Amino acid sequence: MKTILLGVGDLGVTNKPGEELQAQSLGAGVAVIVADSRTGCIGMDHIALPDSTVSLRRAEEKPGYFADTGIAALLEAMKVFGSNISEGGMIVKLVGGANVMDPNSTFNIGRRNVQAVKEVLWKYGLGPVAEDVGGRVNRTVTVESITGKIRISAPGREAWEL
Amino acid sequence: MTIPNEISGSINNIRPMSQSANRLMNIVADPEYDCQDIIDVVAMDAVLTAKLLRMVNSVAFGLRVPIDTVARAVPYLGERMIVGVSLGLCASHLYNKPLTGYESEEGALWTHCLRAAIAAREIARYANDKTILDVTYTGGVMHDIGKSVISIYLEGSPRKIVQGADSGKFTDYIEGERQILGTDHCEVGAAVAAHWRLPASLTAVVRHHHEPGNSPQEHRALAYAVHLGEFVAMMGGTGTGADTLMYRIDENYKDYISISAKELELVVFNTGQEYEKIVSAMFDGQETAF
Repeated sequence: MKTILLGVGDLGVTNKPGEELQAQSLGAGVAVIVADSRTGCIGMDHIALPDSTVSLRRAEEKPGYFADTGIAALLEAMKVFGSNISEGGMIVKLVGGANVMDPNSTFNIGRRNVQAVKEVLWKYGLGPVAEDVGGRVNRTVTVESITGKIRISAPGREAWEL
Repeated sequence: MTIPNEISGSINNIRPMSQSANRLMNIVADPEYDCQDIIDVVAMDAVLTAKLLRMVNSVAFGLRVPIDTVARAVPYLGERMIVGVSLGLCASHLYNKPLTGYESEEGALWTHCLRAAIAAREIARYANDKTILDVTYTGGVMHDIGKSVISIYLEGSPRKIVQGADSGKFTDYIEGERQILGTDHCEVGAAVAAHWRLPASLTAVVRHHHEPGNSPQEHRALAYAVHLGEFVAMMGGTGTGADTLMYRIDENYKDYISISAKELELVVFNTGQEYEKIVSAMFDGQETAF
């Protein structure tokens, strides 16, 4: 299996058998995983922050960094592989968004990331069918092409599937 | 708590920090230090000088003209990075060993401390007491040094502690360490700091970075800045293994650090950018940072 690593802000798409996408140590970041059940194409975006107003320049260089620019860029990248949301069959899953329990709410970036991702997805008429988010877990996620099988691991825990 | 004899023995066997590292830490512990003092210390140390010049001339900095003196490297690397990298270099035998007792790999302690240091400095911009700005970086570099000592005594325990924290048996990872060892990485780290004769401010940060409210009043803002800086590092996914994110945030930080949610997002962003640049320069063509 060939593993394509997605760093923070990277997005990747593949439809090749024997390939998988991986986002390591998500922390409060969120991996948005889109699988096209018609074509077997999978895409993933490793989002760091909810809102691109933090750095419009970064959003231009690396749209995948922010929820409000990353999902549009991911769906656009998947079009090249023949995946189009207008034709249906898109399955979305979310992983990551670890949360710090801050009663002042300031440090709850994981929760804000997940919320921002969902709000963008809703604009496209999409929503996650499954999610493994929140908690005090530093997840690494791997998604297999064609099957769309998702494996999650974290130090100190047995790996699991979503 | 008292540190068990076996662990105390390990602390006593840690070799002293180099003269250069000790002098650098004492310089930056003074809020009114002179940058020239840092340059003088580094320039007198051939190994440090070679390492820093190799970094600044790496691809990550993209300089067209090679830099050949420490004085000329300062504007590109910054005083903080020079001090931080120097400390990491002087204690590389501790920072780069794998933390098997936390299920983390070689170098994870260094990358975590580096990211926490950058974040703590960013957080300190929002502190009510601005005099802590420069020492926060050094505090971030040093804060988790105790893990390098207790890791070996925690082998086989991470999964038990994680399960205990998930089930509510332990409130956080620190409590798990205390249950298993009778001490924790903060207390052991403070003993390492004392062994190295670090300034009182840095020893306080190492001891209290998970319970900053217990820090002496004169070092409390500093302890809170490093406490929050460590959370920013962990939220960015840069932890030391099984314990990553498994700590409690002290909500009273707001009495010392006035930061909004939007400002924190900027801190996370700036930290990530600087961290990636430094790591890229440090690991440029090398297997390990040092």
